Amino acid sequence: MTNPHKQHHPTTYALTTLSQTKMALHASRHGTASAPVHGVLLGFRRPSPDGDRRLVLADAVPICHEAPTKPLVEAALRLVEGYLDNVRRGGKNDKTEEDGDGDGDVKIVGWYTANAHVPSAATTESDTAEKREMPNIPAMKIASSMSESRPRDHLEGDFVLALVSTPAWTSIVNPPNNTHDDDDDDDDNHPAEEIIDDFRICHLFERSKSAAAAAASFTHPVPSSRISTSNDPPDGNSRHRVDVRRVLSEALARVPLTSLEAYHPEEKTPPLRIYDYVDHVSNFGVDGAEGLGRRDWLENRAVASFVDDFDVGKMG
Amino acid sequence: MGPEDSLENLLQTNNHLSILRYIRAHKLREPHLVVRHGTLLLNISPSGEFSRRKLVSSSLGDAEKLSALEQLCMSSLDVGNLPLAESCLDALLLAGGNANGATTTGATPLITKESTRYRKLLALCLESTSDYDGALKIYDALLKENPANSHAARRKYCILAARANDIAASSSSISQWEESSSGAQLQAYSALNDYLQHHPGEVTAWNEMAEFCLSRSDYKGAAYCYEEVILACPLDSDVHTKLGEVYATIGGIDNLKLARKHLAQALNLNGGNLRGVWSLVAVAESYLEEVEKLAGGKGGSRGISKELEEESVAVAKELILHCGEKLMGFYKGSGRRLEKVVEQVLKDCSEAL
Repeated sequence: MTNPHKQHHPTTYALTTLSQTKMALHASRHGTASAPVHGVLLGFRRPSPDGDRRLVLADAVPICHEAPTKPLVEAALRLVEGYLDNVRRGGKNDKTEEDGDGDGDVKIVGWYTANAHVPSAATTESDTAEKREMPNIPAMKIASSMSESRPRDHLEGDFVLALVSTPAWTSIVNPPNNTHDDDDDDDDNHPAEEIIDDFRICHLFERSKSAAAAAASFTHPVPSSRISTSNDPPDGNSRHRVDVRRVLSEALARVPLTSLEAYHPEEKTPPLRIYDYVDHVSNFGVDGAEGLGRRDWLENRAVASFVDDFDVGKMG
Repeated sequence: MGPEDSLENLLQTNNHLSILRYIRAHKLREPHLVVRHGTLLLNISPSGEFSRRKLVSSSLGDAEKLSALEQLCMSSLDVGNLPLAESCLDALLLAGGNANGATTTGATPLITKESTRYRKLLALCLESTSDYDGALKIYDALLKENPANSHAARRKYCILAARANDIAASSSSISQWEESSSGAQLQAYSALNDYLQHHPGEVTAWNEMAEFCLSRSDYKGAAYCYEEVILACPLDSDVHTKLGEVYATIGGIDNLKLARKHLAQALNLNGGNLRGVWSLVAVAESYLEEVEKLAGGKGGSRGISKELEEESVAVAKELILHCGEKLMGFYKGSGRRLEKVVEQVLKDCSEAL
């Protein structure tokens, strides 16, 4: 169906609140251990009115919080594909309600990562082309090999690499306007702000166009003009737009401070946990099959319903 | 605190001293817990204020107080609370003996500004503020006094690694990023290398080097390091798992066989190592793929041929089926959807055999 001319249209990307929240939570979860995090991006292509290729990055599945190795990634990807088949074939299809001529099927469309070390220079907001945080090498290698081995279908070339941006993350956790106390009772009465910006927690990178780039070929940063945040569900129902910043800051505030699952002192609301594949397969000896079910890294239902609450307008 | 205590139980009792001791004894990294309980124990506010009189006259014994202050100082750096860390430093000097040399018991001061442990903490605080030069001065001095001071040597490496990251993050173009970051990374790498030459038996250093290699996708280097770790911990299932995975990442028939062996050993050591089971399935499959490629006769020059590998192929297939059964057993009762996903993945694996 693709017009040869259209193939030269650069892809536009739409980030949903859900995928951003999951990426941010995963990155925060391993903050103290100063470890890189990695995961896959799920999404679908959606036709936009002007015929552009638009890729909606709808969801994210966290994989690991260490440098990834091949068997680990292969096993995890197998399971993700199995999960996608399951969702598509049976089960609740809340991701694939799509009429029209776009391919609504959810697929693996990208890889996301957060770097291990927070460089001291990168804590100030500087999104200019000059000072740019680059993704770590293993992530770029994985993105390269995954994009090369993709079946040559209409999604060819739409593989993308996302990097959780340290300045963006810092601005959520330590917002510059407020005097941020160290204790948890921030007052929740945010003044009704105009939702001004299209806040994004991550940068996107594409396959580098230059032939010279070899190993690190996912170095082409996607300009902001091609990225939007889309919180529109496929059925086009108009709900009031969600303030992504607000969702993220509330989510990150609920990241548990200790790794002890049973202990959460004085927290007014229960902690919000996110599990990756490595969490899922670790400690099997401790709590067996029940633990496997609880550490639902494929869906992370707790996070999904947290974000949903915002959509429905419960949090206003 | 007795042998039957667990951290959860101790936390219920809210006994600050025992909690801190437990964390110290088991070398856990729970900075938030330490900050919470430490500040309560020592009567220091989370922003670092404390009453000198209260601290000096506290009922804790000197040794306990100093250990707790040291622990609290390190944990406050871990959570990024610099004022608190600095207060701990002040408190250490006070509690160990005030500026006039008098102490609670009238003996000579335990801690002065020249104390090695004190300077270690001071240097850590400087590192925290990114004053790397100041920290390096202290470490160099410590190393001069005692060349075998491993702590100082380690921190030097950490500073170099941090500098390498800073440079990498603030490069203005991709080529500059590649050049400059490799220069700084090389420095950090050689510092760690030196350290390993001086302390070849130190497992944590080998581990650190392995992770360093992995972060740069240097899988061969990582494999070398993990082999050293295995020498020290041959019965650790997780290390065998890691090493097996790294060999599989390097690739090639020989490495895949090695990977299989290590993963099999990992499972021998710990039957519940779920990660090992999944990795073994992936490795066995990769191995079979590699052998298939040999069918084209490309492996002839190295003496490997499909026929020679027949036995290993049979083993690999058996392994996949065996692991599959194990996995189905593990996942039973974990939830209908999850079981279905796992079942399907395993079915695909075995059908491909």
